[in-house]
Amino acid sequence: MASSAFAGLSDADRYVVGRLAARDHVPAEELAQLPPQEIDQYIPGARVAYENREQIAAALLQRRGIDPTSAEYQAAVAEARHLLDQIDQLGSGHSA
Amino acid sequence: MTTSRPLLLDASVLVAYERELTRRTQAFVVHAITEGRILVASALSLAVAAAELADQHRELSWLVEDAEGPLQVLSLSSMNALDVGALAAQTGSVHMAALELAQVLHEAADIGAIVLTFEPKLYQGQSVDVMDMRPR
Repeated sequence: MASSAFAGLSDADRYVVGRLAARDHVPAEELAQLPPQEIDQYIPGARVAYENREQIAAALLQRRGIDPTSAEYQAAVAEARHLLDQIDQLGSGHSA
Repeated sequence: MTTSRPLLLDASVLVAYERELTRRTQAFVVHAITEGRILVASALSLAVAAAELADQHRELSWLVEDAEGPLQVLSLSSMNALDVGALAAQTGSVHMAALELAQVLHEAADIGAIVLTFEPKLYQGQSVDVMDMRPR
Protein backbone atom coordinates (compact mmCIF):
# COMPACT_ATOMS: atom_id res chain seq x y z
CA MET A 1 0.00 0.00 0.00
CA ALA A 2 2.82 2.38 -0.76
CA SER A 3 1.83 3.73 -4.17
CA SER A 4 1.11 7.36 -5.02
CA ALA A 5 -2.60 6.59 -4.66
CA PHE A 6 -2.07 6.96 -0.92
CA ALA A 7 0.08 10.06 -1.00
CA GLY A 8 -2.66 12.41 0.17
CA LEU A 9 -4.07 10.16 2.84
CA SER A 10 -3.49 10.48 6.55
CA ASP A 11 -2.22 7.52 8.56
CA ALA A 12 -5.77 6.97 9.82
CA ASP A 13 -7.12 7.01 6.26
CA ARG A 14 -4.50 4.47 5.20
CA TYR A 15 -5.40 2.20 8.08
CA VAL A 16 -9.12 2.35 7.28
CA VAL A 17 -8.49 1.77 3.58
CA GLY A 18 -6.14 -1.12 4.30
CA ARG A 19 -8.54 -2.75 6.73
CA LEU A 20 -11.48 -2.44 4.36
CA ALA A 21 -9.38 -3.76 1.49
CA ALA A 22 -8.44 -6.78 3.57
CA ARG A 23 -11.98 -7.41 4.77
CA ASP A 24 -13.61 -7.14 1.37
CA HIS A 25 -10.76 -8.23 -0.91
CA VAL A 26 -10.98 -4.97 -2.78
CA PRO A 27 -7.90 -3.28 -4.27
CA ALA A 28 -6.73 -0.68 -1.76
CA GLU A 29 -5.70 1.61 -4.60
CA GLU A 30 -9.33 1.81 -5.72
CA LEU A 31 -10.60 2.50 -2.23
CA ALA A 32 -8.02 5.22 -1.77
CA GLN A 33 -9.79 7.24 -4.45
CA LEU A 34 -13.00 7.45 -2.41
CA PRO A 35 -13.74 10.24 0.08
CA PRO A 36 -12.74 9.18 3.62
CA GLN A 37 -16.30 9.65 4.87
CA GLU A 38 -17.56 7.16 2.32
CA ILE A 39 -14.92 4.62 3.27
CA ASP A 40 -15.87 5.00 6.93
CA GLN A 41 -19.44 4.09 6.07
CA TYR A 42 -18.27 0.83 4.56
CA ILE A 43 -16.34 -0.18 7.66
CA PRO A 44 -17.78 1.51 10.76
CA GLY A 45 -15.50 1.45 13.76
CA ALA A 46 -12.21 1.05 11.91
CA ARG A 47 -11.24 4.70 12.23
CA VAL A 48 -12.09 4.67 15.93
CA ALA A 49 -9.97 1.53 16.34
CA TYR A 50 -7.04 3.37 14.81
CA GLU A 51 -7.51 6.61 16.71
CA ASN A 52 -7.95 4.76 20.01
CA ARG A 53 -5.13 2.29 19.49
CA GLU A 54 -3.08 3.57 22.43
CA GLN A 55 -6.07 3.24 24.74
CA ILE A 56 -6.87 -0.20 23.35
CA ALA A 57 -3.30 -1.32 23.94
CA ALA A 58 -3.35 0.04 27.48
CA ALA A 59 -6.67 -1.66 28.20
CA LEU A 60 -5.36 -4.91 26.83
CA LEU A 61 -2.34 -4.80 29.14
CA GLN A 62 -4.55 -3.99 32.10
CA ARG A 63 -6.89 -6.87 31.33
CA ARG A 64 -3.96 -9.28 31.23
CA GLY A 65 -2.42 -7.89 34.39
CA ILE A 66 0.74 -7.02 32.51
CA ASP A 67 3.04 -4.40 33.99
CA PRO A 68 4.36 -2.53 30.94
CA THR A 69 7.40 -1.38 32.90
CA SER A 70 8.46 -4.89 33.92
CA ALA A 71 11.72 -6.27 32.58
CA GLU A 72 9.89 -9.33 31.25
CA TYR A 73 7.46 -7.22 29.26
CA GLN A 74 10.13 -4.86 27.99
CA ALA A 75 12.08 -7.85 26.70
CA ALA A 76 8.94 -9.11 24.97
CA VAL A 77 8.40 -5.70 23.37
CA ALA A 78 11.97 -5.64 22.09
CA GLU A 79 11.36 -9.03 20.53
CA ALA A 80 8.08 -7.78 19.04
CA ARG A 81 9.90 -4.85 17.45
CA HIS A 82 12.44 -7.23 15.99
CA LEU A 83 9.69 -9.46 14.58
CA LEU A 84 7.92 -6.49 12.99
CA ASP A 85 11.21 -5.36 11.45
CA GLN A 86 11.65 -8.84 10.00
CA ILE A 87 8.08 -8.76 8.70
CA ASP A 88 8.70 -5.45 6.98
CA GLN A 89 11.72 -6.94 5.26
CA LEU A 90 9.56 -9.63 3.69
CA GLY A 91 8.57 -7.17 0.99
CA SER A 92 5.72 -4.95 0.05
CA GLY A 93 3.42 -7.65 -1.33
CA HIS A 94 0.08 -6.13 -2.22
CA SER A 95 -3.08 -5.01 -0.53
CA ALA A 96 -5.96 -6.85 -2.14
CA MET B 1 3.16 2.58 10.48
CA THR B 2 0.06 2.15 8.40
CA THR B 3 1.41 1.38 4.96
CA SER B 4 2.50 -2.19 5.61
CA ARG B 5 0.84 -5.44 4.70
CA PRO B 6 -1.94 -6.95 6.80
CA LEU B 7 -0.79 -9.40 9.45
CA LEU B 8 -2.85 -12.58 9.42
CA LEU B 9 -2.85 -14.41 12.75
CA ASP B 10 -3.54 -18.12 12.40
CA ALA B 11 -5.13 -20.33 15.07
CA SER B 12 -1.79 -21.15 16.70
CA VAL B 13 -1.16 -17.45 17.34
CA LEU B 14 -4.72 -16.85 18.55
CA VAL B 15 -4.39 -19.72 21.03
CA ALA B 16 -1.03 -18.40 22.23
CA TYR B 17 -2.49 -14.93 22.63
CA GLU B 18 -5.20 -16.32 24.88
CA ARG B 19 -3.17 -18.54 27.14
CA GLU B 20 0.56 -17.96 26.73
CA LEU B 21 2.19 -17.15 30.03
CA THR B 22 5.43 -15.70 28.71
CA ARG B 23 3.66 -12.57 27.36
CA ARG B 24 5.49 -12.82 24.02
CA THR B 25 2.37 -12.99 21.86
CA GLN B 26 0.46 -10.48 23.94
CA ALA B 27 3.38 -8.05 23.69
CA PHE B 28 3.54 -8.56 19.95
CA VAL B 29 -0.18 -7.89 19.51
CA VAL B 30 -0.07 -4.82 21.76
CA HIS B 31 2.94 -3.44 19.93
CA ALA B 32 1.38 -4.10 16.53
CA ILE B 33 -1.82 -2.33 17.62
CA THR B 34 0.17 0.64 18.86
CA GLU B 35 1.97 0.89 15.54
CA GLY B 36 -1.34 0.91 13.68
CA ARG B 37 -0.77 -2.42 11.95
CA ILE B 38 -3.71 -4.09 10.28
CA LEU B 39 -4.39 -7.30 12.19
CA VAL B 40 -6.69 -9.89 10.65
CA ALA B 41 -7.74 -13.47 11.35
CA SER B 42 -9.84 -15.83 9.32
CA ALA B 43 -13.19 -16.90 10.75
CA LEU B 44 -12.07 -20.52 10.62
CA SER B 45 -8.88 -19.70 12.55
CA LEU B 46 -11.05 -18.15 15.23
CA ALA B 47 -13.25 -21.24 15.29
CA VAL B 48 -10.28 -23.60 15.54
CA ALA B 49 -8.76 -21.50 18.31
CA ALA B 50 -12.03 -21.54 20.25
CA ALA B 51 -12.18 -25.31 19.89
CA GLU B 52 -8.60 -25.73 21.08
CA LEU B 53 -9.26 -23.41 24.00
CA ALA B 54 -12.32 -25.47 24.96
CA ASP B 55 -14.43 -22.33 24.89
CA GLN B 56 -12.13 -20.48 27.32
CA HIS B 57 -11.46 -17.47 25.13
CA ARG B 58 -12.30 -14.38 27.13
CA GLU B 59 -9.38 -12.34 25.80
CA LEU B 60 -9.92 -13.29 22.17
CA SER B 61 -13.57 -12.36 22.56
CA TRP B 62 -12.54 -8.95 23.78
CA LEU B 63 -10.37 -8.43 20.70
CA VAL B 64 -13.13 -9.19 18.23
CA GLU B 65 -16.39 -8.43 19.97
CA ASP B 66 -17.04 -5.02 18.45
CA ALA B 67 -16.37 -3.14 15.26
CA GLU B 68 -14.05 -0.74 17.05
CA GLY B 69 -11.77 -3.58 18.07
CA PRO B 70 -8.27 -4.02 16.68
CA LEU B 71 -8.66 -7.44 15.06
CA GLN B 72 -10.56 -7.73 11.78
CA VAL B 73 -12.16 -11.13 11.29
CA LEU B 74 -12.31 -12.29 7.67
CA SER B 75 -15.63 -14.00 7.20
CA LEU B 76 -16.48 -17.20 5.44
CA SER B 77 -19.19 -16.35 2.98
CA SER B 78 -20.61 -17.03 -0.44
CA MET B 79 -17.63 -15.07 -1.76
CA ASN B 80 -14.99 -17.50 -0.55
CA ALA B 81 -16.50 -20.64 0.99
CA LEU B 82 -16.47 -22.68 -2.20
CA ASP B 83 -12.87 -21.72 -2.94
CA VAL B 84 -11.80 -22.54 0.61
CA GLY B 85 -13.51 -25.92 0.47
CA ALA B 86 -11.96 -26.74 -2.87
CA LEU B 87 -8.52 -25.73 -1.61
CA ALA B 88 -8.92 -27.90 1.48
CA ALA B 89 -9.90 -30.87 -0.66
CA GLN B 90 -6.54 -30.65 -2.43
CA THR B 91 -4.85 -31.72 0.82
CA GLY B 92 -6.73 -35.01 0.65
CA SER B 93 -8.44 -34.57 3.97
CA VAL B 94 -11.40 -32.49 4.96
CA HIS B 95 -11.24 -31.67 8.63
CA MET B 96 -11.30 -28.45 10.58
CA ALA B 97 -7.54 -27.86 10.52
CA ALA B 98 -7.39 -28.41 6.76
CA LEU B 99 -10.26 -26.00 6.26
CA GLU B 100 -8.58 -23.40 8.45
CA LEU B 101 -5.32 -23.75 6.56
CA ALA B 102 -7.21 -23.38 3.29
CA GLN B 103 -8.92 -20.18 4.39
CA VAL B 104 -5.67 -18.73 5.72
CA LEU B 105 -3.93 -19.48 2.42
CA HIS B 106 -6.84 -18.14 0.41
CA GLU B 107 -7.05 -14.90 2.39
CA ALA B 108 -3.31 -14.34 2.52
CA ALA B 109 -2.99 -14.76 -1.22
CA ASP B 110 -5.94 -12.49 -1.94
CA ILE B 111 -5.01 -9.61 0.33
CA GLY B 112 -1.23 -9.89 0.31
CA ALA B 113 -1.08 -10.62 4.02
CA ILE B 114 1.82 -12.09 5.94
CA VAL B 115 0.82 -15.18 7.91
CA LEU B 116 1.95 -15.26 11.53
CA THR B 117 2.15 -18.76 12.97
CA PHE B 118 3.75 -21.04 15.53
CA GLU B 119 3.42 -23.89 13.02
CA PRO B 120 5.42 -22.79 9.98
CA LYS B 121 5.67 -26.33 8.66
CA LEU B 122 2.00 -26.15 7.77
CA TYR B 123 2.85 -23.55 5.15
CA GLN B 124 5.89 -25.17 3.58
CA GLY B 125 5.64 -25.14 -0.20
CA GLN B 126 2.86 -22.57 -0.20
CA SER B 127 3.22 -19.27 -1.99
CA VAL B 128 2.53 -17.02 0.97
CA ASP B 129 4.92 -15.11 3.19
CA VAL B 130 5.09 -16.59 6.68
CA MET B 131 6.59 -15.29 9.91
CA ASP B 132 7.62 -17.97 12.37
CA MET B 133 6.54 -16.72 15.79
CA ARG B 134 8.39 -19.40 17.76
CA PRO B 135 11.08 -18.15 20.14
CA ARG B 136 14.54 -18.11 18.57
